[in-house]
Amino acid sequence: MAVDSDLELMLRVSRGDADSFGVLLNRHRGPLLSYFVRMVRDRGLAEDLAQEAFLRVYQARERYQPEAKFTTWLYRIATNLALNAIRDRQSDPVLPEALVAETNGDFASPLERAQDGRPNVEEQLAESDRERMIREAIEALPEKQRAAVILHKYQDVDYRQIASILKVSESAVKSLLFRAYESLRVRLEPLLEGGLV
Amino acid sequence: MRKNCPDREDIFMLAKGMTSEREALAHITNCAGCRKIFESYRRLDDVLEQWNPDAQASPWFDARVRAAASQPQARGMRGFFGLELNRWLAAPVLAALLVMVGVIAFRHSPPPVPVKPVTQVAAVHPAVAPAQAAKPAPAAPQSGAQEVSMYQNLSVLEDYDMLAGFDVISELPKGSSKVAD
Ligand SMILES: [Zn+2]
Repeated sequence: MAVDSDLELMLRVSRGDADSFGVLLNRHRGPLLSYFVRMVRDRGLAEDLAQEAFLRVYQARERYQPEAKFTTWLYRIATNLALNAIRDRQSDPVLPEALVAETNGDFASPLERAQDGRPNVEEQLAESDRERMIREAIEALPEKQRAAVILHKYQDVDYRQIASILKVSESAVKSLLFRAYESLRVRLEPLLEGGLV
Repeated sequence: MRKNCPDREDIFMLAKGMTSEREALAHITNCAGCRKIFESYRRLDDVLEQWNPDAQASPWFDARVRAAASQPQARGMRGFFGLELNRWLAAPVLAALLVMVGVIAFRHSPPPVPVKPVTQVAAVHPAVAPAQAAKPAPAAPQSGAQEVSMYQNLSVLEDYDMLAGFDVISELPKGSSKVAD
């Protein structure tokens, strides 16, 4: 049986076919959630944002123009949501990130933890030292570099799509990735056998 | 790096398959310094692959999206449920409602607490529905008289009159139905 393309499914959704929306949801739920988890870290917030992204797709179904790939559109919505969430967190006057980084969070309320994006106890236990180093190195990148690396490395999105998602040129994406990899190379030096070159 | 070595960005492009310039590729094959840089990007890619955070969707993921999508002119998940309401307020609200149900049941027991309020809470807040549905309904609190009668009838407390001599138990009203709420 032939698998319907995302584009065909989305066109059916735009004509009111709820089942096709279910297929899209099922197909992209996992990858989208993993994108948000890597972008904002907090599992609960990531799930909220992933649901919001699907809701926005549904709400915009009648205006859907099959010009770009469905995933380009989906990840553009997702990236805007993720970057806004990161900016909200950074501009939180109660919990400046520098302060958050210095405290160990034992006394933070669940709401504070959601806002500062630190992993909860279970998340910390599940994360190895190696993974923590990689996460922290990626989190330290400027937001567009961070999105570019995650889209490229973990979501398997090609350079042209990343350019469309981030609304920059393809050569700008390559340059963003180069700068990101240079920073990551320095930060992750202990994990790189053979050391820095 | 030698004078005619490509710059790092060009080596990066080669390592990432962004370009396949033959001349540069040939150079990397023959230049140990450039090859080392080339390989370091490859190693970095291998290291990055070791970051695999848990990203399992909750069982009510689809239900929440569908519920929000079915609302006419839905304002969005966060707007619709209220900021963080679904995660941080659902449990306290549910707990408060269960306490209220418990208090009402305590005052009017029997009959036992109906299961209905829990399902009503779940209906109001679909995010909690599957988790709550899996849990049994809370048992109705016993009335004071029933509780005292139960203690008196326990096999361990067969000799209730002797045990009633102890301070703590002597304070229990003897099978009286006059038990404070
Ligand atoms: Zn060279």
